[in-house]
Amino acid sequence: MNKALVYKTWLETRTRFLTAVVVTLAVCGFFTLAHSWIEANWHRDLIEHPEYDNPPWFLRVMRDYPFYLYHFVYADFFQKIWVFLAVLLGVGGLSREAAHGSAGFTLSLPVSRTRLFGARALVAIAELLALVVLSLVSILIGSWIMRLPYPIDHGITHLATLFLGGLFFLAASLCLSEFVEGENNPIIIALGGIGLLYFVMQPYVDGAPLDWFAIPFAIPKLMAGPPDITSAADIAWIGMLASLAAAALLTATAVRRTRRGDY
Amino acid sequence: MIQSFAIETDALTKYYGDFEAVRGLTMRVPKGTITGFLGQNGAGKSSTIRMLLGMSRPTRGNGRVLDFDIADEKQSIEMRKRVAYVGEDKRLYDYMTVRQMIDFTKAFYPAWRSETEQKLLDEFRLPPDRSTKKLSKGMRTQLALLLAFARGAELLVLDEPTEGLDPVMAEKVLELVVGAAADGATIFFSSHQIAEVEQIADRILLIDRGQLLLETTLESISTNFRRIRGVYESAPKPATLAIDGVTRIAVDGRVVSVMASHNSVSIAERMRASASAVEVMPMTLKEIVLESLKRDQS
Repeated sequence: MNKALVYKTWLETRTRFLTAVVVTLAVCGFFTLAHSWIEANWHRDLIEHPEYDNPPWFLRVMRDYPFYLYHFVYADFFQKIWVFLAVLLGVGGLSREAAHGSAGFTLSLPVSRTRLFGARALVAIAELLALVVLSLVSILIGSWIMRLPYPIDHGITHLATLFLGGLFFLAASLCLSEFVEGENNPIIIALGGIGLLYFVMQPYVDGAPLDWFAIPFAIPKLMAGPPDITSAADIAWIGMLASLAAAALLTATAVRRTRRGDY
Repeated sequence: MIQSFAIETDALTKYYGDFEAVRGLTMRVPKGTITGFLGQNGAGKSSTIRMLLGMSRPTRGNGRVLDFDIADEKQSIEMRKRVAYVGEDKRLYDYMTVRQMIDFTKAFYPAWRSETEQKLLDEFRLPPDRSTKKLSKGMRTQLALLLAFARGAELLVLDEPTEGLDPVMAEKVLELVVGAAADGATIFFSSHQIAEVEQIADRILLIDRGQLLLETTLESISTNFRRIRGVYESAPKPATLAIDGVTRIAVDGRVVSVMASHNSVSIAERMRASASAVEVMPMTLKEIVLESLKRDQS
């Protein structure tokens, strides 16, 4: 891979990446550092408002810190942000450059379009990986500061599934960027897709057994994994492989489009 | 001697949907020449250049640049190692500074000319640490030209190179183009400024609506192209003047005006046979271009 192309992609995406770093640190930091405050509020609510119809996870979240992190970070709030960050890091490419007017310069360079795409994908994956590591480190440090025991393997396992699932959204973003013209249109469309996934399809995905048509939309469940992973058998490997295969297919489609497109 | 060409196209055609941007364009650009590529807005100049440099694929036909097939990706990459291009809009990467743009581009060209880079940085007074986003249009054009000239390319493809520049800077750019040609590079540049083309080009290609309208040399324009005006007792039928070399006939009452690309002496003689007065005048490139475009639109 050409170093100059990687350098270019890094400069192109660094503002987005640094924004993602700040958001990741803020969210992971909040859920660890503010745990005692959140817990105290829940206790008060339980005493002052016994009439509240609390969700089934509520009591466990209060007494089980790893489950609390699972629920708010890996399965719900941070996961939605994570998916958006994956999309954000994947946006770019020749269609975006064509909208901006710099595609002519890029394409006049003696380098293949596949390499241009490869550099972009490589940097985006590296940035996503860096975010995962940063999430783990910030959770561990936050937990240590708050003197909350947290098993590192719990964090590694869930963040690994989050990362692998994130690759699907990254690939979707890479692909969307090649097909949708305009500088910001891919992000707008991706946001619509994320909204559809989380706010429209989730009721179907939460059903058991899973409705057949909801299977492709179960990726948030897949990314979270079960709350208690004790062995490798607890991970939905088939689903994970299907998600990675879909990511590979989207990437191949994007490469094909990049190679054949007129700019 | 066999003439070698930097650019050759054969029936090159490009459709965007139903719109035919380039229609069976066949042209040749000899190596070592400065060729002006003329045409109105939307004539197909930029579409042709984009196909030549592999930015878009020809719908039909084929082309070769520096003997490399433009439709073959591997050959196109080899070709682009030897070609420098300055696009119409001169947009560069907003997220890079001038220095970063130079360093990035340099990485792709082993024959990079550092002395040219430094000379142009000084001449254009480009601030190395300024973001390209904050450069004026003129400065952006200057940076794009620096990045092109310092590549040490065999062929420079320049799309409206002086657009957005003040007259002094435009003149400097034209001097650079001539200098690059003197160093052995072939120059292929599109422009709306006919005066500029007349000033530096030794060949011109005129296209309209995606088709080649005129291919000639500046020398041929001064020696061969003539406007011949004849005053008649009664206007002759244009068909009687359709002889070799006549490219346009305009009849206005008793006055017949003919544009001749060559053979003007014979044409004038033919007209003298029936006209009461015949006048032969040299033509400028501007007149030829305007006449040719009129003919195409008539």
